[in-house]
Amino acid sequence: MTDEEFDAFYVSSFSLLVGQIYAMTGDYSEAQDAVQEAFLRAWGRRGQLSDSGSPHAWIRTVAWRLAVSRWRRARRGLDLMLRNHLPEDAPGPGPEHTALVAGLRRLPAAQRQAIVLFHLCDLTVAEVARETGVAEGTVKARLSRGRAALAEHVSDRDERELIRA
Amino acid sequence: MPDHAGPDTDDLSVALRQLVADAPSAVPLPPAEVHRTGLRRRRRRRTVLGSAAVLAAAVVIAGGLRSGAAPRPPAPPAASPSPTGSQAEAAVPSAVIDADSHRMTVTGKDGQVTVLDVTAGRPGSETPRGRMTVQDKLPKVGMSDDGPSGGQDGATAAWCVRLVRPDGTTTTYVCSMPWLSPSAIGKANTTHGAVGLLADDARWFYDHVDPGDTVEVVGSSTDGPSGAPPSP
Repeated sequence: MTDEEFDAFYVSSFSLLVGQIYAMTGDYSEAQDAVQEAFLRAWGRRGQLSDSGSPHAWIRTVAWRLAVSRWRRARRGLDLMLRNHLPEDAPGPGPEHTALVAGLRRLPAAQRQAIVLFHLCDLTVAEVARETGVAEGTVKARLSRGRAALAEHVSDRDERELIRA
Repeated sequence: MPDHAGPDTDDLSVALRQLVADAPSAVPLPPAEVHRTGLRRRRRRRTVLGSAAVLAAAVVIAGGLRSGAAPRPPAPPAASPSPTGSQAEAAVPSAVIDADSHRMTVTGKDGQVTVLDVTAGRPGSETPRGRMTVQDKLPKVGMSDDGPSGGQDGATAAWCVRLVRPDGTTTTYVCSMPWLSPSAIGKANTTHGAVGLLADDARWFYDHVDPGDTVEVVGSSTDGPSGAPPSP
């Protein structure tokens, strides 16, 4: 990938990838930081980036690992901050998405990742398996369990919309 | 939707897309800033590698001393500005340009060792070898089309450090020359005698040497033609 191709890829896909990592983490600022860091790392490897098969998958995987790693380190402090010190102007999900984000956050990280890759990134089970490095059967199990756990949150959202209507 | 979809999956896809659509728009760093950060990180990695090499050398020397090898005099202090030619011969160079590996190892003002990619004089127009002294520094130098760097008439090199042999017979430049192919820097010798760097590296080198510092050019061709200065 040349410098020009990298710049075009960066500009065109940054927001898309931030959105996907946001859905996986439920934290928009963290998603933006992780994707930015992944692109910074990718620049040093831009010569091999197109050889990786899917530059999007490379960025997404690196950003996800960064986000999970930071999240684990900061988990305790983050929980305290969310409970006690969440700034009022911090970007966060609107009321209609709060239940979904809360549900996603309660899922194990691997299930969240599988759910987002399958339902938001439109990857097939085989592609999710390849990107996450697990067997297809494992992906199916994660999707099934994750959907079951999320079902009530999505249902809650539908009921609220009916009530509002 | 693949076979794994269930009755609730459409709702979930819609909800996830809506969640992302309603998020604030992401503001990435400008692409130029990504490039700059990437370069800085590459430089830092090389600094660490350079420091590791120095440490390894120290361990080897210490090992030799412990095993009974003849004691050696302590290494001279890091390079300091050396205003005269005779001092330049004795001083540890601030930078060593290896025309064979296309690398320049610089001891910066902070004492850290940094390795930069360079492109030196091509065969037939080799950069003069040996120790030279930094004569002066010039933010811009105009080049003529027969200049030793092969620049087009009217082209301007940036962040130029002018080197001169102790006897004053030969000068050459270390600078950023925008007409050089960036892909050749660090990989091949392509100039007509001057030493070319990437713009950020040239600026960094410019900031880390002073007139009087010693720069040594090494490489397999030790008797190449003397490099005439670019015509400002």
